[in-house]
Amino acid sequence: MLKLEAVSTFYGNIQALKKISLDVNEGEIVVLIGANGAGKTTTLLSISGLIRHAEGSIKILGQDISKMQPEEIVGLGCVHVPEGRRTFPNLTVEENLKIGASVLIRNGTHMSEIKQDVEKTLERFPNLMARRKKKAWSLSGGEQQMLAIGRGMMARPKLMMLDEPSLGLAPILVQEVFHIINEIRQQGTTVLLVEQNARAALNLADRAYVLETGEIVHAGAAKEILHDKQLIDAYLGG
Amino acid sequence: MHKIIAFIGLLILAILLPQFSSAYVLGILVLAGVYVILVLGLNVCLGFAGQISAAQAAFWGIGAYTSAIINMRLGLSFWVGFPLAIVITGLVGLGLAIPTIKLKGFYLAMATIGFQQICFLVFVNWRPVTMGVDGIPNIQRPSIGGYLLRSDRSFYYFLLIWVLIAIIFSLRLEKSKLGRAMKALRDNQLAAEAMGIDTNKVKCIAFMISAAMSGAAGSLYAHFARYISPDLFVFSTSTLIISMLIIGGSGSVAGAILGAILLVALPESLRFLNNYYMVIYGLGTVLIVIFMPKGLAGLIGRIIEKLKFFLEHGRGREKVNE
Amino acid sequence: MFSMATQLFINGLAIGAIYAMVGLGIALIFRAVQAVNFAQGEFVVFGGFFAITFFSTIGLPVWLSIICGVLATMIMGYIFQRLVYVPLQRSTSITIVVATMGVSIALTDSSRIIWGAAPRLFPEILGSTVIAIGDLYVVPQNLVILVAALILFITQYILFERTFLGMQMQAVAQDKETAALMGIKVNRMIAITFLYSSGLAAIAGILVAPITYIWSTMGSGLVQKAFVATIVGGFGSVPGAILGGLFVGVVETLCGGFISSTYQDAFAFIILIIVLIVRPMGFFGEETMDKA
Repeated sequence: MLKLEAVSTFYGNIQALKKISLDVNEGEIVVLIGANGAGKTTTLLSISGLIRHAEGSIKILGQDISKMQPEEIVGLGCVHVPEGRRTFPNLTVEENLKIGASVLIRNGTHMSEIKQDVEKTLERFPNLMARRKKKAWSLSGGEQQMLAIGRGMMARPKLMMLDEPSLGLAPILVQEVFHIINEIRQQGTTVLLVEQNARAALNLADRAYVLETGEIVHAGAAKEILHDKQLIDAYLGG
Repeated sequence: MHKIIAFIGLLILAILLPQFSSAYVLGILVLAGVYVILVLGLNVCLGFAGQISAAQAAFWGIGAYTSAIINMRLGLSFWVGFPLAIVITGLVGLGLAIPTIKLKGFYLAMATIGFQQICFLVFVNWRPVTMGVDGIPNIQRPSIGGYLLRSDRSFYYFLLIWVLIAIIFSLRLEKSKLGRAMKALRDNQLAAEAMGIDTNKVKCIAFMISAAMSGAAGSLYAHFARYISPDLFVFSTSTLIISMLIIGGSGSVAGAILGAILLVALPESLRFLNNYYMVIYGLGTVLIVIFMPKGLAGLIGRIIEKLKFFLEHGRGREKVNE
Repeated sequence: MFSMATQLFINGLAIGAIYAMVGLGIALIFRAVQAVNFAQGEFVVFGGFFAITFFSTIGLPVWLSIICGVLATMIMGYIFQRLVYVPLQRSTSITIVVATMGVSIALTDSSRIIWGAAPRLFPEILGSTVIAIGDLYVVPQNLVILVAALILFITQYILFERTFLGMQMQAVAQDKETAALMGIKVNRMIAITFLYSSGLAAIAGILVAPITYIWSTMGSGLVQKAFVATIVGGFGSVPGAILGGLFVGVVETLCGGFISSTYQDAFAFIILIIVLIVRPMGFFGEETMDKA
């Protein structure tokens, strides 16, 4: 589904990613963990095309994305739910969801189908249903996160990448978010997750990569990493 | 150092040129001198402190009218009008800076434009004082200890002294603590404040100096041309001054001088360009902003650096071969 | 007295509608690329001149000249965006101000070179006979302006708020990067914004040409009034630009009539300075000042 080989990304002269390689197979939940500044967000930004990687190759469903614009990468079926929710503040909940389906609409999917998708999403998230005509800036942090995830799902992605979805949320909402991510996988979407909240993420995921200052320092089954005391102390804030 | 050599060379040129020039060329030289002072003034608030001002022509006018009114309608000499023009215009500049202290970028530009337009309308309409579109005639040339600067050539040398003073002032300001504070403000206001710089004060002082210099230029111009009218002190003159600074190299004293001289001399020297020079200025401004943000002075500076590098390393290679 | 006030009010609304159209173009560009356009006034001038050329020189009928004039200006706007805004995407606001001032200078003089310095006229659509309504004398072109502006603003509202294209443009204006992540073609949306803004400017020029004529240096004065309008209304806000424009037009015309006609132009700038000092974000302003 997703394959990174020896990918390096620079911010000006600073090298944020140093020849990292990772892959995500269909149906998996893979998590990227590591401290702040390790390069987790940069990895996702390189995959979704908002930043151009300088070396190596990134392939989504076998296609090399190095010459693609972000809008085309979404067209391949890869959706990036960015850090900090980034809902469109002056659009309503409904409008945010519809915008999520931009790629489908561009490719000719009928508005009526999209509207059906919107209804289904709102049914899944009763909080959002209650606020469907409200502008996104008026929603709480947790509601905005649900909206961002729902919006991402509207593109009917094959691969969904989420950047720190639990950030700033109360524990109950964190549980809810991870529950939703599990549902997403069960519905057939592959998930690449970036998380600071390592324990919860490792509980959910199949495999994990540990990132430190731009390099992959460990890779393996999520449960193993979770139970490896040394790793937990060394790399994870918890 | 090459800079000093270049400067002395230019100075010699500036002193000798008028001896061989027609009256027409002399007029252009004087105009260039006036604009050098104007652009140096803009360089203080835009080049050093990063505060955009589209009101330089208005300040120029305030200085010119102040000096002209004091001379022609109150009968006092240039030596009263000139310093008063500087002080009054400087205070007006301060008066504009204080209420607009929080404005940045585009908003500040608009405030200065508003001020510029209001000033122009006052010049045109406040007939009892400014004599409106008729303008103020019969302004006297200055006299130095009884000697009246009747000839254009003698005024030119008089002006040259003030141009040199403005240049030296700008250079000293640039190297001073205030100058460095201005540049810090220009580069990053928040960082400057974090370093303990009172950015409000620096902004106000920058505006005040810039206005005062424009006022000086105004007084000098008025006493040279002996007649002023509102249509010089318009918004498009302000944008012309901005173009001069940008093309010459904003932030650099040499750039200000270069830009002013070039843009005053160009339409006159290249006759065929006379009809198109505004287009060239406009396009030049855009191109410089995109491709050469440090202006022509920056470009020349880089060429000199490359030459120096080449010469030094050329010499080095010779030494090794011995 | 009352009838004079009403008379002035209507005239003020008409010129205000023109300011609103120009200001709207500026506001939309600002929302799309977070940059101001000091050359917007020149698009008004070129729009008017293009239409005049199509009509007087080429001999097309009035309605076709208008359409061609608008299209030609839109093409110009597209080229302008690619040549100036794209290279300066990550520049500071002062840089963009200076650059677009440079473009404004170049375009102003270009129009003088192409069409000459004398003001040119475009024919009035409803003829020149003044319409008398009771005590009021309405210049027919003012009526055309008001009606056209109304249709334009309503159409725009529908386009922006009720179509998917409009929603995408709003998304791009609110958060460009996330819009790209949604699969929206951001560059295309920006191009469309510029095309539309230039078109607006052209329409404004064509509407005002029969009354005030078109001459090459009228752009900078117009754009300054339009900027005053957008700042008063709230910079970056669409309703702000429209209401700000109408407000400036009405106030300046009323003050010009009752207080002083020689200082008429000054009133807009006095309002500007007051607003900038007291409430820089204007009436509907949502953007913080730092964005400018």
